[in-house]
Amino acid sequence: MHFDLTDEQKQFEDAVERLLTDKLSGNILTRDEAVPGLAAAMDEALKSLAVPAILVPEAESGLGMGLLTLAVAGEALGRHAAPTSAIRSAVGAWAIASYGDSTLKARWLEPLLAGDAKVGFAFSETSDHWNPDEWRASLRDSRANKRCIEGAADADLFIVGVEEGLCLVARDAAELHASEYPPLDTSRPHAGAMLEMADAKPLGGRAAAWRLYDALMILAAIDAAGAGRAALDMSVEYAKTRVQFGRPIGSFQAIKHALANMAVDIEPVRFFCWYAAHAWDVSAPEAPWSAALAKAHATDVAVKTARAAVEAHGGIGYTWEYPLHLLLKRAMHDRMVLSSPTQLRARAASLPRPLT
Amino acid sequence: MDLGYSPQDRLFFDEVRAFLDGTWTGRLPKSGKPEPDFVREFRLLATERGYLYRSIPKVYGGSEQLPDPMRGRIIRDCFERARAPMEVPGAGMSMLIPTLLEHGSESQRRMFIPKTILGEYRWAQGYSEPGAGSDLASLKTSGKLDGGEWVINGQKIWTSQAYSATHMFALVRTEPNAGKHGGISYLLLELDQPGITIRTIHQITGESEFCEVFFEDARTPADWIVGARGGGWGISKTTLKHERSNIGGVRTLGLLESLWRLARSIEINGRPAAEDPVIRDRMMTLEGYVQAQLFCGYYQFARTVGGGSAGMLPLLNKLAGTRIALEVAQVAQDILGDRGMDLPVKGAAGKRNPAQWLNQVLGSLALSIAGGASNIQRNIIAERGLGLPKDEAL
Repeated sequence: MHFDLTDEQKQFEDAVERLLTDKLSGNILTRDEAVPGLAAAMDEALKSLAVPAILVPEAESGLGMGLLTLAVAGEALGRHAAPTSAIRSAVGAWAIASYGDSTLKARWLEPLLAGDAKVGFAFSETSDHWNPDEWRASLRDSRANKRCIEGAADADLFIVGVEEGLCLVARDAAELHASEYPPLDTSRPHAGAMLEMADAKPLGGRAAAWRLYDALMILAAIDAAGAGRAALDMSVEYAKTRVQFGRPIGSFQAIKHALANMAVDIEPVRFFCWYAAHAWDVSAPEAPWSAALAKAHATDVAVKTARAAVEAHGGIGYTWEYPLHLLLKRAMHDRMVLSSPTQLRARAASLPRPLT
Repeated sequence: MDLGYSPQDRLFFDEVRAFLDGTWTGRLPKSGKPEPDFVREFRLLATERGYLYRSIPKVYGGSEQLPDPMRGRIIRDCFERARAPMEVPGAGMSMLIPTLLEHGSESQRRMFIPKTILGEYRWAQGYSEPGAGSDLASLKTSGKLDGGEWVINGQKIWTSQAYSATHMFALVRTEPNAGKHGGISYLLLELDQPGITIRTIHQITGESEFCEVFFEDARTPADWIVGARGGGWGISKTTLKHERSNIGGVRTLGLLESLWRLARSIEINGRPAAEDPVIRDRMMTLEGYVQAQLFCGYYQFARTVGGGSAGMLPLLNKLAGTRIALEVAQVAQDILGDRGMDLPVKGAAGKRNPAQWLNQVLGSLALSIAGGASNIQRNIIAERGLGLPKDEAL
């Protein structure tokens, strides 16, 4: 029994962390106009760490390192609120390697593994309808209208949720409609799309769809866990240096207790996410339960922690130039996508729970 | 990441289970509780095999095993499955023995450890006083040497189960002219003597587990002091050097499961409370916190086994567990609704659903006070865990 990352995973974690600290230091991400360039640079850097190949089995030319390893990268990306398409590429490549026919694999696998092709996941149709049981689009339809597709503007292909399961639609069969407003989380812009379904290629049934959806929920959960922990760390550093009444505010019990409560909430969250990723990797019977509940729990707690962090910072936390709001918005985004916490808790309540 | 036992672990697991089959499960009486003599005999056999009292040297009655948290974990797992008794519970085992092993004299160890292991000496902890709660070092109970004895005057409070204890380890001010912390000594004493009066405290649950202990010229031998005069404060902080086989979070898992049983057994609006959307959402929210705490515990255990540190995480466990227990009680209250008006309070602990719950609702409040108040724990997390500056007034 050894509930910890392997040495290899820890080294990988360090490598990703070093890279992100190097490329995204200070408040560089608060400059909106810098984000697209940084996203491209992040994609390149994460390509060099082979992040897009992590999830695909070795037999399909991937690294076969599993969702837990990808989650390690995901947590670091959340910590830094990093813009990148690398996680989507990794999951998209896995879906095609697992459920695509030989034509699809021949067309898409290599560019996805190399990080040269980008994926958009087209799930939601109407507000609050995200999950595979709620998809009403069909392969029989001539068109499918989807909303809130992360990275849609850069996507080369869309993995689309339909009643039958999943299908693949190429970029040239999609007409994008951008949102009226700039995105809340500038690190992950999204758009809607009208997808022509005439050439849609089936990519696995509903079981495949749920398995993909579970993986994405776990990655959203660990992303939020990373953002929440980073918000706590920033607050602790701030409390040590900000002086009022002649002493660091961190010496006041009011601040200490607020930060201690944040730590009790957020610190354990990542381990539940690890477990959910591990359960997904070994296809444990409770994997869907853990995925839904981890997503609900991690994103709820991360938003709560990040909001408390803004309060702990005082006025500076309420400014655009100070990067704390990026973490709050990152966690809010994670909480909003892929079904709300309330819906996910209701879902988990209907699924087999872990044996104890 | 591996949540199973290795082949060697599995062998050890089988060995412990075979032992339990032969000495416990297979020999239990058909009905009723096992006799005290049977339990005592079983503990001796289990100690001989190296399963109990593992951190205690053989000369003092322990089994003197090398620290091995994984083996400790397997033993606990097997014993819990077989519902077999482990070490005699109480402050003697958890606090006094580690303290004596680290700071006690040879004669103190020989005098007290073997009888504590066998349950003949039962220990009360004499720390808190009416005027010294969270600010424990302000304690005033005094000890003065008079011939060959300490003469003790003052009062202790919140002493768990003092009425059934035979002895006490106490923090006593023996050096009134030394500083606040430096004037305290760690004394051992017998409770059954004329200078000591024990009074139980009637708690909000109607039960009386805690006591007040009054000292009026109570006496204890001069050499029943552990460590040096004035060194008691540091000694009382002796960290438990046991192998840690407890995984935090497992207990809250059990608590949540009994809440699910309650939610399935009581109806709200014509259907089980577990299917009521509001109750279900709150219970699933609790599930999230419990799972996070459970796997955080697994991680801490893995770090311990690997000889590493889990950083600040161990400091969080008590507060996390307390908050979960308080919320479980709150949800239970809402499931019970006005049925709570017809449920017992006093003496319901250990009863089955739903009679236990009113007691649980009130009893959970003790968790945020006992063994260091939650607000003190928040200070500890902030200062030792997060590295925030100490409050100079404390």
